[in-house]
Amino acid sequence: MSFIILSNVEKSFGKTKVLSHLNLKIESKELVAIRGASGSGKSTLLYLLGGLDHPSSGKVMIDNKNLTSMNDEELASFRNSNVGFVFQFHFLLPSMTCRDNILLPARIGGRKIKIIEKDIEELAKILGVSHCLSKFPYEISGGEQQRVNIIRALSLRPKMLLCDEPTGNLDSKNSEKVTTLLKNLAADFGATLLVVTHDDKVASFFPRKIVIEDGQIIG
Amino acid sequence: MHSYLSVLKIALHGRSASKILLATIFSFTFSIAVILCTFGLMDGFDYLLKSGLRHSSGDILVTNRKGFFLIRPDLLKNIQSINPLSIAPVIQTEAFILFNDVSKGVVVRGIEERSFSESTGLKVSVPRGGIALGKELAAQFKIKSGDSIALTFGRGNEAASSLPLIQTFLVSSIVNHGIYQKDLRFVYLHRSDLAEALGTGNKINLFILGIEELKSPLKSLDSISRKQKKLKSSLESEFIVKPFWNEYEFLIEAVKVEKFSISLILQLIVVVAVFNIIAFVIYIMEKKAQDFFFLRAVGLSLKVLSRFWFVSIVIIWSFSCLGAYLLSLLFNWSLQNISFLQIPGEVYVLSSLVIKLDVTDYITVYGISLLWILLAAFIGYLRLKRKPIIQGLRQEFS
Repeated sequence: MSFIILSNVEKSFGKTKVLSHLNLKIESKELVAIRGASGSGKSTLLYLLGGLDHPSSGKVMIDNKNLTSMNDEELASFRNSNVGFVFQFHFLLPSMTCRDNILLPARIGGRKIKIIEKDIEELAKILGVSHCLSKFPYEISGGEQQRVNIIRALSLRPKMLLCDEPTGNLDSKNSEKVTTLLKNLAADFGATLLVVTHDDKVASFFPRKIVIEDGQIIG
Repeated sequence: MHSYLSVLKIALHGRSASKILLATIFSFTFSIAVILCTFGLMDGFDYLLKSGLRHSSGDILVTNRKGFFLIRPDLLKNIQSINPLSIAPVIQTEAFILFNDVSKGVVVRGIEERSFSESTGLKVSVPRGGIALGKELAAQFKIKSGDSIALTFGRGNEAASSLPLIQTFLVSSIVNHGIYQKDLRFVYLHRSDLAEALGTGNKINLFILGIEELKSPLKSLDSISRKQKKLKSSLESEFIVKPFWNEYEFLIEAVKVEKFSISLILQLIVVVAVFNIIAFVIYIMEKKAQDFFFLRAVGLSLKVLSRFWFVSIVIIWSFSCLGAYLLSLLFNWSLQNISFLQIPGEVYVLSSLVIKLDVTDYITVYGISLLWILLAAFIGYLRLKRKPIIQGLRQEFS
């Protein structure tokens, strides 16, 4: 059985239909780019997969769990345990050190911090941001901030890594670096990687590409 | 706990958030304190008035329309039938006090120290030849213990044409009733001295009865009222039986009515403070929306977030209640120790005010303020609940 199964999914905001009759299957540990123009519905699809919202109709199954029938609390727990989000804006909270920012999902989920801290130290070493952990986000560079953001997304070893335009703010050289990094890390962690992008070049790095136009998968 | 602290840290990040929170707590504290102090002042007035009156009148006063009467065994038996804790036979008359060429009309009471003290709780030291004065009278005449003063008594109608009787007494003590007029007008002599001066023999013209324990403040007037009515019905019609509050009944009643009406008006102050809290909640929602939506994205449930709101609001309320309690203590201390805040006794009956609050007052004020603040929290919660995460993320991150 596929890791992600979308059956006849529709999503509307008021009278505006954003996604219509989507059917999709993604296998576990697959590396997928979701490509489309602005307003095509690709981010909405990502949010539905991440359990951030319910579809207007249809069914979203992730790892054999029906997200459509979950209530807010169950969805929150699902997101915390299964999903790592990387947004276009790194979104590190300025009131906390980078370490505390990374530990935020763990604290929200009531996890044992000591175990997770070990993983974080290792990841920080791999990504070259060990020196940033005790600093506040405003004390480090933009590139370092993005890497700290990625560590936070991976801190709870999620089954799915969902990235919404992670290279949107980067130049082409850095875009390539981050994309490669995300692919390698997802592979190392055994996570299914879905990256939403409008950039064909970024999408070209992924073995599978899903193209969305006007709320429908066209390729 | 960790998630609560994380959310709290985010909510309070930034100087303006902390400042607004402090202002909110302070305004709520102040509002609650104003209400507590107002209630406390009214209860304190009621308490001081009653205890002051009891210090001068005991619980029940028995007089006779014809003036002086003998302490007959049947009269005593009737009085004892209502089981008073104590009975003080008193002679009460009027006289002029003379000191340093100044005179003033006063009420003179001839008492026996022990029975009077048991009935009223007022310790008055009057040995034979001695006189005790109310503290305002002593202050006005600058009289102190050991001074010699003269009292001028009338000699009754039969001797209207003759000169008044003037007697000298040595000031043995200064007494404090707690009621300005009593402290200004009352002087005490030994009953035998006054009986000799007036030539009344064994007769008295007043019984002061103690009905309730004097150590604890009166919770209710019912028991005294019941016994007063019972005694009134059992004594001959020439006797007048009055409860101690008879003299100031209108004031006690007025305080009761005012307490209710002012409590309604003071709700406005709480409403203003609640507006501050609502403003704080809205401020946090608007300024920190980005952070909150992100927290929700990484697994913070609406339930936890709403719990954070309600817990935070209850914490604000708790700090405000504690602050209000401390402010009321400070105000009470100031009322009694800072001369600027002391009231003119000739206007307000009492020579000083005190804040007296019982559990019911705290429960009422804190309870109502909690209801208001929970209402504000609920408004915040509705705002939080209304916006889906996806919509919030889109607005905040786009």
